[in-house]
Amino acid sequence: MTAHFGFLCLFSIAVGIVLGAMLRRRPRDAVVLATWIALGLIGGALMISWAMLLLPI
Amino acid sequence: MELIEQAAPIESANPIESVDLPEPVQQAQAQAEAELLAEQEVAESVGPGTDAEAFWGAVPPVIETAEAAEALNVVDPTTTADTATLAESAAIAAAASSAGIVEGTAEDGFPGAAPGPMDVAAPMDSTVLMWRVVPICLLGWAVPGLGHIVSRRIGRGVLLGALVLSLFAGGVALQGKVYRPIEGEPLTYLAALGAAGVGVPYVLAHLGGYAEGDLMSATFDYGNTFTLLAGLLNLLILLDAYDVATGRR
Repeated sequence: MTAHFGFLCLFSIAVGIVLGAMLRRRPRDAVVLATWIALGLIGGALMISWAMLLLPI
Repeated sequence: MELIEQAAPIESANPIESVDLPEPVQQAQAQAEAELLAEQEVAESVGPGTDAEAFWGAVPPVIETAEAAEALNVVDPTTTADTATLAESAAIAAAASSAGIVEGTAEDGFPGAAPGPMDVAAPMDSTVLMWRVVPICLLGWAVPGLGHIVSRRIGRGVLLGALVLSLFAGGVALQGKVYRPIEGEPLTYLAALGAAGVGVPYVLAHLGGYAEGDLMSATFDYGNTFTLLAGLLNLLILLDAYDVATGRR
């Protein structure tokens, strides 16, 4: 796997799992928080990458 | 009065009351209800009050002197706990806990979960802090997740440790380098500090010759990021292990 998006997903999922496990006590809440963090990181990266198309470079 | 009549069905539908309570709790609850009924009988014997008193409850008398308090047989709530209130609180807490409404048991969290928010951690003196917390933090740094495992947060420790070690191993497998401080390049000191957060695997990677990576590999940058991320996440996990060891979580 050499796709940048795949590594971005791995990065986001890893950060989400760690933060979810540390910030929530119940496994269900931890999974929900981890999912939101991972989706937020992926979505944020996609939005920023599309916004960079507007930069005059 | 209409408001009270409307509120009555809501109170009866309370899930806490529908739970079977243990016998001591039922006795405490029955005692509290009996005292409440006695108070209501006293209030009725005094006579009807205003509408505000009927809605909010009777206003307690103003007690200005200690003699007046003694004459009225009033217990100071700041020095002595009201037993009826404590019994009611215990009954409600037990019912809520058995109904799964309130967290606070190890069974409803991760294996060996931290005590609930209602539990108060005992203060820890410096000797205990030295001989308990510092070794746990050192273990947590050396082997990711071991600090939690030693603190009996086994599930969480295994999960976090496996994740960090997988990230680090993945970074090395992707031909990424494990940062080390290079003289004259200040940023490498920061990167090395972050990557060294993974502990013993950082040392092993340098000793085993896996730390340099392959600059020509297509995944070199990804590997760098993953090894650095593993170290930084373990530092974050270390902070959590510290909180667990000191009883804050």
